[in-house]
Amino acid sequence: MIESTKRRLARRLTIARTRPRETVELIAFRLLYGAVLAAMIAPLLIIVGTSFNHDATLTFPPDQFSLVWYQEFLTDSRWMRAFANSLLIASATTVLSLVLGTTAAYGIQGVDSRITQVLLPVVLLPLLIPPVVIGIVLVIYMSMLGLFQTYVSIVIAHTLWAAPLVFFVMQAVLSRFDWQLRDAALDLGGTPLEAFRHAALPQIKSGIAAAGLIAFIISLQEFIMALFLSSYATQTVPVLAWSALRQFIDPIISVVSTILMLSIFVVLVPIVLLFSFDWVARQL
Amino acid sequence: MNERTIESASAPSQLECRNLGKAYGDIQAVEDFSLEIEEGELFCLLGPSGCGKSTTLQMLAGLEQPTSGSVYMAGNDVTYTPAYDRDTSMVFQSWALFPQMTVLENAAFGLKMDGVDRETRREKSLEMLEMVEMADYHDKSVTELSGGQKQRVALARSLVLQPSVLLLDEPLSNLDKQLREAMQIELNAIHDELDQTMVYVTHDQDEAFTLADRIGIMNHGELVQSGPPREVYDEPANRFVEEFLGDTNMVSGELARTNGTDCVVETDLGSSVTVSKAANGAAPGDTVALSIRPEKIAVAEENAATDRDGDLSVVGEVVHRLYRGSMVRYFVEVNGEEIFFERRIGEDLGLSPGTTVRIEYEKDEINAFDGQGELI
Repeated sequence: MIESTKRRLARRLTIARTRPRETVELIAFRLLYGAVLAAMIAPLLIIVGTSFNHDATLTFPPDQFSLVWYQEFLTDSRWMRAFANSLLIASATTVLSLVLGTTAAYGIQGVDSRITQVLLPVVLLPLLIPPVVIGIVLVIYMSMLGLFQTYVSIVIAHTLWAAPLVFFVMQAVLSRFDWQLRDAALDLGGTPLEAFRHAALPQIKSGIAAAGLIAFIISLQEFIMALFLSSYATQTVPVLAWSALRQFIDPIISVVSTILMLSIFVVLVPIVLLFSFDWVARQL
Repeated sequence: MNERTIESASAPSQLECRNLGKAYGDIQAVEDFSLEIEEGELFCLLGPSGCGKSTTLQMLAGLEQPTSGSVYMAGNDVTYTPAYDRDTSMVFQSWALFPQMTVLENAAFGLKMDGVDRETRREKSLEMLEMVEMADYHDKSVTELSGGQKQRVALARSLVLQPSVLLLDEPLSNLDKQLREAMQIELNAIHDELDQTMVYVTHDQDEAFTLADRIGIMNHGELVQSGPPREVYDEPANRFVEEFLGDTNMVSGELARTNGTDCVVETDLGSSVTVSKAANGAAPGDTVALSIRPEKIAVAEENAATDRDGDLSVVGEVVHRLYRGSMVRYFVEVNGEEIFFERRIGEDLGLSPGTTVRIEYEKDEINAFDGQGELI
């Protein structure tokens, strides 16, 4: 055991000695990657850090560790309502876009290619139009329907973005599904719904979870369309954060950001535990 | 009209296809496919890959909708009946077992869909698993099974539903040769024991001959010929069937004359060949192809007597000797044409390349085909 470890170490050292160039390149590569990663994570850490300030200033590192702004956040009914709105809208968006995206991707399999050829770019359209434009159009449209400033209007707006992404993720997931399983279920007397439930669903459920996560995150962080479509009562966290920022900057913004990050982790962790992390990474 | 009345008076056949067709855009996958299958029959649909045999099976299962024609089961039109309402069950090429379920859950799936209660489900499925010798594995996950075991579970899963017609889509093609042959014997036993009507799709002619009560041969989406194995082998409808059913020597020639019962063909073999065939529309001067099956050739050294007395004989020289497992294949050059025949290793004639041999064959064992490939 020890002998073999020694030998392995020795071999690695030999490689390091005989190939100094490769080793230098490897170290440089890792350093560069580390730097990029640090640049990505550092602002997040700073935001989390400033949320523990005692004073009403955004200083980092905080002069004095304190949870006052957390208390402020938890006792402020505006923030609490915005947070509840965000979760409600994100959950509804997730469910709606999962149903639309998954059934669409499942349904177009094996359908005559001409329909799908037209469908694919049409599905992409909402992602290509600037959200400002969609926002304004939806204000008019939702007013006509009497839905302006309701939860429904924001959920529809977010679904417009999330459903196409779910659709494309599910298309990729379903391309690896063995459709003979569905045929077997149908052949054995299962209705199309039972075939989906017993043959397809168990094979694609982790893909659905990953797609749902994407939909949830998209809704949670979307700001522009929500700004157009929400009222004081239905506004989401990013909308309230923006209006709060226009008045003054205080650490409550950092608290909100920290909690938003935390809530995404809360969704992510069970999924990662449920399936393997590798798997989720591949689906995303 | 009269024919119809007679037909409806007798019991309708278990499965009937009338002018069945399937087109994918401009591609005609299956065309004008008509067939009747009787109760208890094991029918093999044989053809090269891409000939439309699997598509035909899918239409019988209700998994594909035909673009023309109709399917009847016990006299009822089921052309547009979906798969789940149809009394057929399919064994898929890759078996399509549900990977998240155990062996027993897989076997009981169809009964569960039919609303059979849990106890009966378990009892019946175990009984069927017993029959395919998989009962000991009932609580194993199907992903742990070998190919042959998966095959058995797939078979049990379909059989437990007691379908009026069991459809099998090349179920043994993913198994190795030994296992495949063992499974063929078992399938035959199961067929006999349950008197189960089966439609079996395969591209392997040996498998079809081993299993089938009747064989249907497909090519380019059409059913070329159907009949008992021996009949299609001895009396192929055309050159495609003859060549598909086994290696053969194709010798081209010209029809010299005919007397109504025999044809005389001038061939490149250097002599005329008399065939026991009426010319059947072919006229002297037409190009014909003769098929001489290697197993029907008698051979001896030039001056020795052959093991049987053929009507016709030619002399040639052995040019190659090829060992193919248990068989030796000899290639003999006769006037520039190459003719091959085979012998078992045990009865090796010991002919080495360079030996001059005499080849003999019977005139009524040769099939002749006209320029269009039709049998004459």
